[in-house]
Amino acid sequence: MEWLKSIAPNLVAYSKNFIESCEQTFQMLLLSGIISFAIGLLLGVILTITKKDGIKPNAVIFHVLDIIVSFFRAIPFLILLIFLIPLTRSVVGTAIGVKGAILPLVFGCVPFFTRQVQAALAGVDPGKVEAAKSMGSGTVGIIFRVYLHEAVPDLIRVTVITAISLIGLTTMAGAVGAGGIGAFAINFGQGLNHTDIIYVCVALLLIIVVLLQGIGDALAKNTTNKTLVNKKYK
Amino acid sequence: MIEIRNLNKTFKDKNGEVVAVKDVNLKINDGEIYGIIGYSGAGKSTLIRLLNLLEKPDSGYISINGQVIYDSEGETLKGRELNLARKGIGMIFQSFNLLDRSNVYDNIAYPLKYTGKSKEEITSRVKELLELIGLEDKINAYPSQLSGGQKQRVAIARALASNPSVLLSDEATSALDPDATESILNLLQELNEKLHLTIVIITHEMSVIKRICERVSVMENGEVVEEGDVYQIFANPQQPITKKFINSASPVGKLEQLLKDNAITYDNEKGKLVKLTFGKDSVGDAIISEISRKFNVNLNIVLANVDNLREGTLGNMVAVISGEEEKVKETIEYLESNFVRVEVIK
Ligand SMILES: Nc1ncnc2c1ncn2[C@@H]1O[C@H](COP(=O)(O)OP(=O)(O)OP(=O)(O)O)[C@@H](O)[C@H]1O
Ligand SMILES: [Mg+2]
Repeated sequence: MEWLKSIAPNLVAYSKNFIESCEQTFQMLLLSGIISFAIGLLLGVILTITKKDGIKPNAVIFHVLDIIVSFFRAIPFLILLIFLIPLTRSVVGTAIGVKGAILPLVFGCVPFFTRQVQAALAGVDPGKVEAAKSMGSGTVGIIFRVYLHEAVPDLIRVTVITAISLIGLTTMAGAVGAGGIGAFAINFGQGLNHTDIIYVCVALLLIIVVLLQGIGDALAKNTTNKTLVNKKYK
Repeated sequence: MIEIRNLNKTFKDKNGEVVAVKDVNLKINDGEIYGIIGYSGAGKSTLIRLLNLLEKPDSGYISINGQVIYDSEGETLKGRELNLARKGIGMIFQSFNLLDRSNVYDNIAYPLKYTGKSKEEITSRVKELLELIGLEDKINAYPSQLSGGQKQRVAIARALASNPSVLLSDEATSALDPDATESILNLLQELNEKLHLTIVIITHEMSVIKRICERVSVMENGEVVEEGDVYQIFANPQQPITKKFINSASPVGKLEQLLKDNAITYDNEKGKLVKLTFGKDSVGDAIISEISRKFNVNLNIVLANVDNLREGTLGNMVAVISGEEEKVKETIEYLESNFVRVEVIK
């Protein structure tokens, strides 16, 4: 503690705010991450199967979704944050704080993740899909037993990439009232001119990113051409 | 029996239309190994993929074991019924198409899972299949740990898991080395005999047809241009493309190249270059020494080859017969009367 006080006195002074902002960032990441993962995966799968040579081609669904995803992907996140304020207010009752940040974060994250999921699923050899069809698998069977099953390492990779970009988005959301580490760095670091706070925030974010990347890489490596936990049949 | 009538399939894209399958009619008998040969782009894959509706025909009729798979004038299978019918039609591919993240057990069990079978039933069936393909010790291996030949064996086991009566093979040996090719062809023949499995084999290699097929279709530009018994086709090919395929699989096929290079020299005045085909009814080698004695001619063998087809052996020989003109003529007549087919080349 003494040591920390000597190198980052301001951080120690505002330690309560610091811990609170860490919690806020964590909440934003977890909540918007889980929601975005579910929606993005769903949209990625739908786009994959409804495209022209997909297993359930449907031009209308494909094009409508494709345009919506491209639209939200094209809007810079800061603009999106402002653009979505009325919607956020009407849905969750407030546009500030963690609660108000979830919706714009999901909107900012889903289009990006959807495209990443599409790319991951496009990496599944169409021959495998064909073989599954020839064995009598239906649409649901092919989605779960071929597409999602074979794409696991790539899905892990793109989830990590998306999670890291989501961390970036939460700090931006912080700038407009969501709280979190980003807001803490701006208000207490830059605003009060405490550079030690800025450095600690940067270091903390760096550690989170490196950790995420490391875990993701290890998981992806251990699921390539095998299951994570090897099954043994006798 | 697989029955195909007036089957058509045209692909349309921005570059225009490609007639991939054109008015094909075929009957493939139960328990038969049937070959379809043709060059790249002939429409072989399209034809075989039409059989289990991986590709939708434009018109025609397909039935397998009495079940109508497709009929442009009537009912066509779709949805759940189609999926069920596909379980009765196994298929293997050039690129194996195994699930890379599943081990051998799970790959073979793929068609068995979610069908209401108990774990024990699935396990015993998988083991049965592993024994059939001789890979019991690879039960926990992943595809990345197997050789091409072993992968194809697993793919065969997987295709047979739900006890289909028909196996469709699209260039299943094209990615394999000669040894692995041989062992896969052996396995297919064994399965055909043991399980009375009807096998439709697509290939661009005549050696594959020669090795295991009973009947064959030759495809060119979407059409079946020649069809019949493999032995008959080898003994007496009609279409130029068929002859080309047969030559590709036989040393005697080198003849044209040798003639072009002037590598065969003989006295044009006194000799005739002939191609002899010895069928299973011909007497065999003895006749060669017999004619030299009988007609006082010289027989100089340029190229020779014996093929072991399923129905019997077939010999081919290119030789120069030289001697008195009258005697050479008599020799040829004598050979023909002994069921040797004689083609005078020059
Ligand atoms: N999905 C498709 N869309 C458009 N054209 C296609 C399609 N599939 C096949 N074709 C065309 O149909 C023709 C027959 O193709 P097919 O794959 O059946 O040939 P093949 O005899 O199997 O050749 P190969 O030995 O190279 O596999 C080719 O001209 C090909 O370009
Ligand atoms: Mg092909």
